[in-house]
Amino acid sequence: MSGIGRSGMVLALAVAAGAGIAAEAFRLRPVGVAYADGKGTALRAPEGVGCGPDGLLAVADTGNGRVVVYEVRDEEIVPRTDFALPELPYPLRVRVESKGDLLVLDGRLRKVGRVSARGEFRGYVEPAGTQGIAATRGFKIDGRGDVALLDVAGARVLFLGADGRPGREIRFPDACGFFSDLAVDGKGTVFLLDGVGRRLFTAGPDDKAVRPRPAALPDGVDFASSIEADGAGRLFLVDQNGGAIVILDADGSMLGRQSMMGWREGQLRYPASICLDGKGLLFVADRGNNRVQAFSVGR
Amino acid sequence: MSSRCAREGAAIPMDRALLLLALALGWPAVGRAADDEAYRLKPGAKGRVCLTCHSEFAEVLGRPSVHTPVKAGDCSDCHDPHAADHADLLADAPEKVCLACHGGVVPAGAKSVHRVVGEGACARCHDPHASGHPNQLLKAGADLCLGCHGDVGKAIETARFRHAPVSRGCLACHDPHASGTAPFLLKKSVPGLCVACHRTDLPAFTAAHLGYPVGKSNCGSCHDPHGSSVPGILRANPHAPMAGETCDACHPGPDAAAPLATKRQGVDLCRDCHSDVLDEALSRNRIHWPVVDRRGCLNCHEPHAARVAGLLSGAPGDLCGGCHRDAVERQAKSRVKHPPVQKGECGACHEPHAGNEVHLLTKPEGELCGACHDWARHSAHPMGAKAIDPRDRNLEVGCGSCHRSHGTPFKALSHFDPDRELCVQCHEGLKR
Repeated sequence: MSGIGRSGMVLALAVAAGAGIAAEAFRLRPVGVAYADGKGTALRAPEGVGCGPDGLLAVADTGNGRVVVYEVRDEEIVPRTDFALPELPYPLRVRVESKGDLLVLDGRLRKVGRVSARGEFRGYVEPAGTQGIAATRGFKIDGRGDVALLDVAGARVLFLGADGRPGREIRFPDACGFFSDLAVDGKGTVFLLDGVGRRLFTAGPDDKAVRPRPAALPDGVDFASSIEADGAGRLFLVDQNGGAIVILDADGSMLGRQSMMGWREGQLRYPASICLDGKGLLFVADRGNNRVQAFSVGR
Repeated sequence: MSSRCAREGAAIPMDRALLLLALALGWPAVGRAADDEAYRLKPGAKGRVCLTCHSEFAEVLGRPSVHTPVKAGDCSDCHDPHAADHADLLADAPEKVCLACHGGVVPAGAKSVHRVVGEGACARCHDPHASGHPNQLLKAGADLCLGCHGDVGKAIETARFRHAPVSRGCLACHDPHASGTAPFLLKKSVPGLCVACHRTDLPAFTAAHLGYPVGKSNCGSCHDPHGSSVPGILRANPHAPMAGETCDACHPGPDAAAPLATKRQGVDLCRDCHSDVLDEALSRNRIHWPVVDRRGCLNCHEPHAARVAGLLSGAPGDLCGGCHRDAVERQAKSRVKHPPVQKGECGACHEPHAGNEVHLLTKPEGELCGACHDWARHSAHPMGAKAIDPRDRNLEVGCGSCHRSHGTPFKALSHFDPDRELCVQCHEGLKR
C-alpha cells in the first residue's frame, strides 16, 4: 500500500516500452498498489474494484470471500475496513453508489446485493417477483444512480431504480457471442462487451436494443473480460488473458494498449476488472497477482 | 510475354488494345496471329515448342482428361516462358492463375466455401495439366474427398446403416467448391435438400416422427446424413427422451398449438431431469456463464442426438476452442505442446459447468499439475508457502510462476526464455 514514486516512473517507462502499441498515444502510469487489508491479511484473487466518492475504493477480495474498503489519499491506498457476509459469500464485482453504499455481485448466487460501506447488508438488487435461476453476470451504475444489470438468462440489460422498480430494458440481439460485461457512459449509452465474438455492441439512451459496432475489437486483444467508460467517451477494456488494458476512442479506434503479462508492479496477470475514480486514477483488480494496482491515466 | 498481361489490365498500347477488342469480338484466330506477329513468335512458341524439352508431357497429353489450354498447346496461358516470381514459372500466384478463368466456382456471397478453394490450393484436388479422371481430378469420386475427410470415411465404413446417396458420391449432396445457399457446401440448405427425396406428406414419415410436424425442421439435429449404426440413421448418441420416443418430456404433444416449442426455456428445461448436474453446478462459486444464459445447455450440447458422447456439439477441444480461441492459438504457436491441450482434453484441467477455482480449474493449481507431473523429479526449486515470489509478496512460488499451461514461445512452456530470462526474473543478482 504505497505510492510508487521514482522507481514507479522508471517502471512505467519500461511497461510502456514493453506494451509497444500506441504507447505514446495514451498511457497508464503505475502509482500505487494494495496488497493487504489493515490487519495485514493478504488479498487473494481479487476480481472487483469500485471507485466511490471521497476517495473510497472497494475491493471484491474474491478468494477470501470478503470485501475490503480502502481510502485513496494523494495516490496512497489506505485500508479502512473489511467484511465478509453470508448473504454475499463469493464477491466477484463491486461498485460504489453516490451515497457510499456498495453494490456487490456474488458469483455463487449470481445476483447483486447492496451493502453499507461498513458491511451492513441491505438486500438484493433484483426486480420484484424474480423467478428462475438468477444469472446476473455484470452490472454498472449509470449517471442517474440506476443499476444496470447484465441479465444473461433473460438476454437483456435491465435498469433498476433506487427503489428497485424496473425501468429501461435493452434486449440482446439474436446474433452475438457471449456478453461478459457492460458499461454505461455519462450520456446513458450502453456498451456491451462480446469477448468471444470480439465485438462491442451499443445502445443509445433511448434504444431498446443493442447494435453491433461495425468494427471488431482491435487485433491484439486476447480475451476481453471487462469494460469501463470514462467521462470523455473513451472505453477501457480489460484483456484478461493478455494481461493488459486496452483503451479505445469513441469511434472504436485504439488509443493504446497498456501494461503486459507479468508479476512486477505495473504488470498484470489475468486482470479481472477496473474502475475509474473520475480524478485521473484507474484501479485494476490484478487477480492473478493477488493485488489491486492503481494507475494514473494520461497521455 | 504471357497473354496473362492483358487480363491484368496492364498499360496497353493502342495497337494491342485493338487486338484485344478483336479477341473480345470473337476473332481469336486473328488476334492470336496478330499477337504472334507482334512478338515475332515462332510457330508453336506458346506451347508446342515447350514440348521439345518437356518431353514427359507426351504421356500427360495422352491422359483422358486434359486441361483445355494444355490441349490447345497454350502453356503460356499459365506459365511465363522466361522468368516468374512464382514456382514452376507460373505467371501469377497459383490461385490467381486458376481463378483468372475459373472465377465462377465461388458464387458471390457464398454461404460456405471449401477451405482448399479459399486457400487457392486447387492442385490439392485437380491436376493442372491432365489426369485419368474427369475434370482433371486426382482421384475418382469419394476417394478424393475422403483423402482429407478421413473421419467421415471411417464413419461411413463402420456405419451399419448407410444413407443411400452416399454410395453415389459426395457430390450427390455437396458442391465441391462452394455453396451459395447453404453451410457445409450443401447444394441446398436443410431440410430443403432432404425433402427433395424424403416426402414429408406420407403417413410413414409422420408416424416415424411420432406425429410431430418436423418437415421444416433441421433433420441433422437427429440424423447423421452419412449413416450410422442406429436405425433410422440417427446420430450415434441419442438423448434418452428421443431414444425412448418420449418427446413430450421436453415438447408439448404433437397436437399442441406449437408442438415443437419447448415446455420451458434454457437451463430450466434441462434441470427437470438433470437436476443433479445443475444443482451441483449452481452451488459452486463460479459458473461457466454459458450454462445459465438464454441458450443454456444448448451452447455446448445437442438436444436430440450427437456424434460425440455426452451429447456434445463437437469434440471437446473444438467446442471449447470455438469460444476460447486465444487459448487454442497460444497452443498452436507454442514451441512445446501441453498434451491435454493438444489433444483437446480441456476437461482434464477445467470444469465444464462450474467450479470453485479461478479459471474453473478442477483443483488448486499445484495439486492439479501434480496429478500428472512428478515433483520429486523436478529441479527441486522451492515451491509453496515457504517460497514467496520475490516479484510479488502476495504470491507463493508455484507452477504458474514459471510455466503457462496453454503455451509459450519457449521450451518447457516457460513464460520466459529459460536460458536467459526466466531465472533472473526473480534471481536478479545473477543477471549477467
